[in-house]
Amino acid sequence: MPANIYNGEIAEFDCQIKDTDYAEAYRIYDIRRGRSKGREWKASIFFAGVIVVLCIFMMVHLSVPDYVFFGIVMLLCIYGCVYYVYWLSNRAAHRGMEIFESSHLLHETIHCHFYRDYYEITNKYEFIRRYYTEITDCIETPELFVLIGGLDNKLTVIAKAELTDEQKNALSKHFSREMIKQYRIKRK
Amino acid sequence: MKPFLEETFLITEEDYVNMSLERKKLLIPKKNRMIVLAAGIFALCAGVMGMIFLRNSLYHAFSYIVLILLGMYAISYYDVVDRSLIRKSASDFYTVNQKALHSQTIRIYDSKLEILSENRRLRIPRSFIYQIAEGNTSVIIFLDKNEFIFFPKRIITEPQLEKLRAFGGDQYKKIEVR
Repeated sequence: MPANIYNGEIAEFDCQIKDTDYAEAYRIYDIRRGRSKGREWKASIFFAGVIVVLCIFMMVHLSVPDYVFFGIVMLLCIYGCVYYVYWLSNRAAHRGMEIFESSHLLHETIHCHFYRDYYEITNKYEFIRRYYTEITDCIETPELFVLIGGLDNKLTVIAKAELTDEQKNALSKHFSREMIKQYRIKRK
Repeated sequence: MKPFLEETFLITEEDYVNMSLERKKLLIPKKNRMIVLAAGIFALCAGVMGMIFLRNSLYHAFSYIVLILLGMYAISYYDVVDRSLIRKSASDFYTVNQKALHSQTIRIYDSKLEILSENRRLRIPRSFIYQIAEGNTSVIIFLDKNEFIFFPKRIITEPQLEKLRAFGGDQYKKIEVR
């Protein structure tokens, strides 16, 4: 259906997401609003700890117990770095996969209708209307549109594979115009 | 078919904060709490012993004081620190999203569940429910490992709660909250 700004309708389509789509969307949500939020600065604190301990090792003459103590501190800091940079993100994707497996509703084909001020999602069991003012994040990746918002940061995932090029462009343009602060493009 | 539970309600800030605390208690395994508590006690004891018997210099004393503080933080983390943080973030979240909250009607039948509000209609069979958790103040119904709906216990009577427990069956869980 062509985008028709005049009457407020942007796009209408059916969409079904796969487990990998939801896992990636959940990973993005975790980075923006979940436990992975701020992982860069948290990892950098631990990295700074590693540097400080290395400087202590090089510049100060220590006894054996002190080497052991600072060695343990350095190992903990390295663990913190690896945890925040690598493990946390992978655990989020794994958790997204688990959530998808445990849900009946996520396996349903949804009918999406995007309007100027809100969007509606319908399937056999559920109808949701969400206004863009409720959205806290709108992330576009090469494969997905991920909208985070509503009470308890609900996740709306739209797989681009189900859309025509015209629909993708209409949605991109609409999101970038309606949600200036929340809209982000993630290249990878 | 008549529902055994049919109520219309509006979530207050207190409802939302209490639910957040109970949900967090449900999601954190007891094993994790025990590990953090044990680590905190160990760090506290190690720090105190170090201060008494092994303190040779100022920087040793400083290290043991840091260890004692970390131990106290770990011991009090889940009962004090985490609860305060959850209370604050839940209250802030409710304040920001207050306008999106509408009154909801919940209807629970023997074999299905309905939630109706201005912007949402949900009608699912009993088999779609992942878990039902009962805390001191809220009942949380999980639709999967993440998504949930909840309502405060103040809106339902004891006979309705008994029927809800039977409705939950094997997926029913009581949250142990102090």
